[in-house]
Amino acid sequence: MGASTGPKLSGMQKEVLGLYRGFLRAARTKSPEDRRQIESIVSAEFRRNSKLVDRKNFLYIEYLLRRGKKQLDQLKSPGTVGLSSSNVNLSQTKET
Amino acid sequence: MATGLLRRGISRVQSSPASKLLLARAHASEAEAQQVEPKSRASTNLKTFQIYRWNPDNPTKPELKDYEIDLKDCGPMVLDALIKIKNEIDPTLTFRRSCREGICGSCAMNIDGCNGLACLTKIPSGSSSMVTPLPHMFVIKDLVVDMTNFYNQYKSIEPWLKRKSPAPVPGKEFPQSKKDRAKLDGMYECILCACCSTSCPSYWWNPETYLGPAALLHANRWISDSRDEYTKERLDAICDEFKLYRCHTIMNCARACPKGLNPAKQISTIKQLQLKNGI
Repeated sequence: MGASTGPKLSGMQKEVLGLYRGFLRAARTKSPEDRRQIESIVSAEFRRNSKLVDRKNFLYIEYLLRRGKKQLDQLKSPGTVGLSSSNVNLSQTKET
Repeated sequence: MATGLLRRGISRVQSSPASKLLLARAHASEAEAQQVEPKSRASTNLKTFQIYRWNPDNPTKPELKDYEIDLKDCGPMVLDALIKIKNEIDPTLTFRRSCREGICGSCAMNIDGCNGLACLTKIPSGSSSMVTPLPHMFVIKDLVVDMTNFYNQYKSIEPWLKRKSPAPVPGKEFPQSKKDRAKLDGMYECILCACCSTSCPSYWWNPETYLGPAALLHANRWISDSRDEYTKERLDAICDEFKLYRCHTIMNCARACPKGLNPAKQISTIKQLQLKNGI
């Protein structure tokens, strides 16, 4: 019961943490190498959005949650072996 | 262009009488074209479309954006207007479309407060129209909504033929009489555009638990199928306070359906079958 000592979390915060946990659990079913990669991508994405997104922007957080759930469902299927991300430089396209 | 091609053809066969006819025709069409052009330039028919915009990459509050287009220079349907806006004014406008003839169900959206397919809805008269995504659905971007739940509900009614006995002739199809086939009319036409489900207040309040008119219509499509042998199981599976009986015969579904079907009627058929089934 470690949760009782931590800060009190809102429903949405619990959902986000639940999603993160879901990803970690799904990663366990993959090969060790893929698992490491999945965990690093997932944690980077969560940390990035935790800084980037305003905590009161519920509309957007809910959107991200739904998107995350969809991606998790895909990752859960045995056919999916790993996760990869590609970096697209948006700064140029935005200026035009 | 066309008249130019004609003339080139004519110069080769000038002696035949047919060529004279063609020549006359070419002139006539040219004169007509000259008359029409200044007319269309003179009178324009401007209309404003207020379109719902929300982009997840730039998460601000959703807004209605105004686009003014000339209807004289546009096809008759709302989808034509949307494509024109996307082509000529704002290429970032996002919407689903495919067949442009009401057979794919991609372009379902809410136009002036009524759900419908953009490709089958005429541009309403009046100076301004509002186009928003399907109501009570999660928006992915602009007019594109998340249909996951809707498709999962369709999947949950097991929309495929289920048999207990093997086929009469192994490896061949299951024959069906014309009368049995006629029972499927009014159901098989459904294209799963979600116009009906998203117009149903009951579905708005219970989108997770109530199956919605579209899924129930398809449930009845398989219940009524003479070749399907799981009729009882299918009826039992949806006999639920929420799944089926959240339908309060509001009948919005029948009004919304762009294919002119009546999901409410099919739902009441299921309810009657449930009674006969003795549950």
